[in-house]
Amino acid sequence: MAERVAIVGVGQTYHRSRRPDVNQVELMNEAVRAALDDAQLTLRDIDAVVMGNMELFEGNYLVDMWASDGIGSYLKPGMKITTGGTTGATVSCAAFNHAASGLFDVVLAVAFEKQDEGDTTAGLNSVSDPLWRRWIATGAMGAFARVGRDYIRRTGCKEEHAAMLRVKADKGACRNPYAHLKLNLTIEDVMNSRMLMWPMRLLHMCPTSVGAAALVVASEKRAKQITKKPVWVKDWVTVHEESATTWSMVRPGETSLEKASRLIYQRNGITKPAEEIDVAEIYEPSIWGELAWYEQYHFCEPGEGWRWAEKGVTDMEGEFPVNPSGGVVATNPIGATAMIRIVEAALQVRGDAGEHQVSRPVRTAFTTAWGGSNWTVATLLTKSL
Amino acid sequence: MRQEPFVVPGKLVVPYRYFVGRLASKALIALRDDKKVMGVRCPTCNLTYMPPRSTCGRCFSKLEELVEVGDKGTVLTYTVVYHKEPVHPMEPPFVYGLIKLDGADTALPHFIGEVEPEKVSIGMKVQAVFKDKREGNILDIKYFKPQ
Amino acid sequence: MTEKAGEEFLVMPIPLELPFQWAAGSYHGRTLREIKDNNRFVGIRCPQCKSILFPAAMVCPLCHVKVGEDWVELGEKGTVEDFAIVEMSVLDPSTGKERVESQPQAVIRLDGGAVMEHRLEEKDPQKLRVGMRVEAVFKPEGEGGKGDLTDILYFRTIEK
Ligand SMILES: [Zn+2]
Ligand SMILES: [Zn+2]
Repeated sequence: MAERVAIVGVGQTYHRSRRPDVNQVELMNEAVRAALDDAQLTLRDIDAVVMGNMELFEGNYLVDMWASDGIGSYLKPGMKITTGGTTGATVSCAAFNHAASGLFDVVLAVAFEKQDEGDTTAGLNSVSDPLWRRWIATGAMGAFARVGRDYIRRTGCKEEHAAMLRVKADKGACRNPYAHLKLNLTIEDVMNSRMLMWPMRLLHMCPTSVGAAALVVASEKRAKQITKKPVWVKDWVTVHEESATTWSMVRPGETSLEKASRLIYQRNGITKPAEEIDVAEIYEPSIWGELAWYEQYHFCEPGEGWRWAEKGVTDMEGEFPVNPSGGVVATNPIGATAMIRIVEAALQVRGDAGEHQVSRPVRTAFTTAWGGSNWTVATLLTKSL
Repeated sequence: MRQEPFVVPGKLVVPYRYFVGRLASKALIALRDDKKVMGVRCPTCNLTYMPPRSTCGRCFSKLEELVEVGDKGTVLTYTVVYHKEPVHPMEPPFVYGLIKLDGADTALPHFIGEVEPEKVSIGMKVQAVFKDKREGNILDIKYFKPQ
Repeated sequence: MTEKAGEEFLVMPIPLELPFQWAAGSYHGRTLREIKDNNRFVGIRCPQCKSILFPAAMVCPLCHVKVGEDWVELGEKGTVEDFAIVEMSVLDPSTGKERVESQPQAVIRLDGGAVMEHRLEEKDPQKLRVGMRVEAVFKPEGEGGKGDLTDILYFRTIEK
């Protein structure tokens, strides 16, 4: 890589179910202004703009074409990226690549979703193969219910363990001013919430949020001029699996979650992730994803995730905090969600997460994103180069 | 084994809605309730945008100052539609025009009516014709007719 | 940032309805054609890893080699590997209407080795279990096969 890259500014909106007071461009604009303010830059300092969302949730296409005034790409180079649940992370990676290429010094990345304008499950179902799966698809709920059933059968985990992690997520969300659902949940609340599809209950699933996020990314030289607290983007990786048509199949070998995290650990000499990483912001649209995926990210041994839930290992004050922000299960403006993981991880590295700053000192943070046809993005952020 | 192509007809049907936001709501409510055509002014660039938008792309200022741009303007360019398409809003022939309203610095795409297509010209002065029953969108202007 | 009481915000309905012509291609197309015309399940075997691709595909997703003509009949009987009773409705983008899943959904491993998702005829939760034996029930002839998996009505329990 030609240039080392740092995050020098982050921004996000207050995430809600409905934002009738703003249109899509105005929503993005709020996050862009927040990120520029955080970086103490103006639009004049920005060399390129990368943006993304999942258009099938709004039904408006080529958003990059008509959003240029609001996101600041007017007469500047830029591009639009749409990769399902990973969109916000892929947009971020594109910004890292732009800055790392040496062609652009300072790059703005913007991602959003305005889910009050469409129907989330209809949008997700239209991702399925129209002749093979669309007629039976049940959106993310069906996919994660299966993750839950599989995990329960394989490991002996109980519903209580999902509830424990959901309460942990809510504690984080209640301390995060930007989070969407802040519910002061108890284990009983989660266990008594409406059954959608066993073992998936309503409170196991993310909300449909409206929100946007933005990052300002700079090459090493500019980053050091811009801020005293650059967050170095040590590494990033994206990994695909096979097509969505066959994703219901029992698949041999490594998953994209396993491979993306393994690659990033190997390339950066990490052998004990839960010890060497100080905080993780992972993409879990359902709490069953968090429970089942700890092992896929090689945080713990296979089948050990629910024991971690019992012990509180991943609490904000725990040995290995995961999603102190409250995570996706509390806030999911889909196109922006994966970028919010990076925004939140950067705040943790800077020590600027406020009420939801973890107890453990943060030098290294790990983020993931997951979506679409089993695509995983992972990033590694560090305090020093 | 060679096979005939296998093609299945299908549809994508989703009920979307579009939130126009605070600034455009104000402008469209003025159109609906008072037949007033509003734009937004950028004090830095001294430009008035119609349709209104809440950020100036040129200087990135936040725009909040709605100004009346009036219901009269000039045809910057136009085209006559002769062929029939399901997506067209009316029977051909009809005229699409880009109209610069007198108080605005940008052009508004709309229909030109009450005139033979052959008689429309660039530079022609036109005036908005409002619908009787208005709903708060840009089609509350039925079309622009020659002044 | 936020709404003031009494402020009016306009929302415009934008109903989308787009017609498409989906081309399945010759491999996936043959799997669908065999279901529609001959009421049977046909996949194709990857020459390298020997996995059965179902629906058939031109390229194996696991080893990225072009498949040959090793077509495999999978049988209409299978075993339930996973099932779910869906207790919510979803908006179906093919119709624009809420779809209520009144029958349990299941992952079925066909005896010929491939896996597919479909609905079960049996609705009684007491009678549903992983490992139950089922067989496909196709649309009766003359009821107009569509060319997708709705040409199969459901899978019914095979009584012992
Ligand atoms: Zn300006
Ligand atoms: Zn193969």
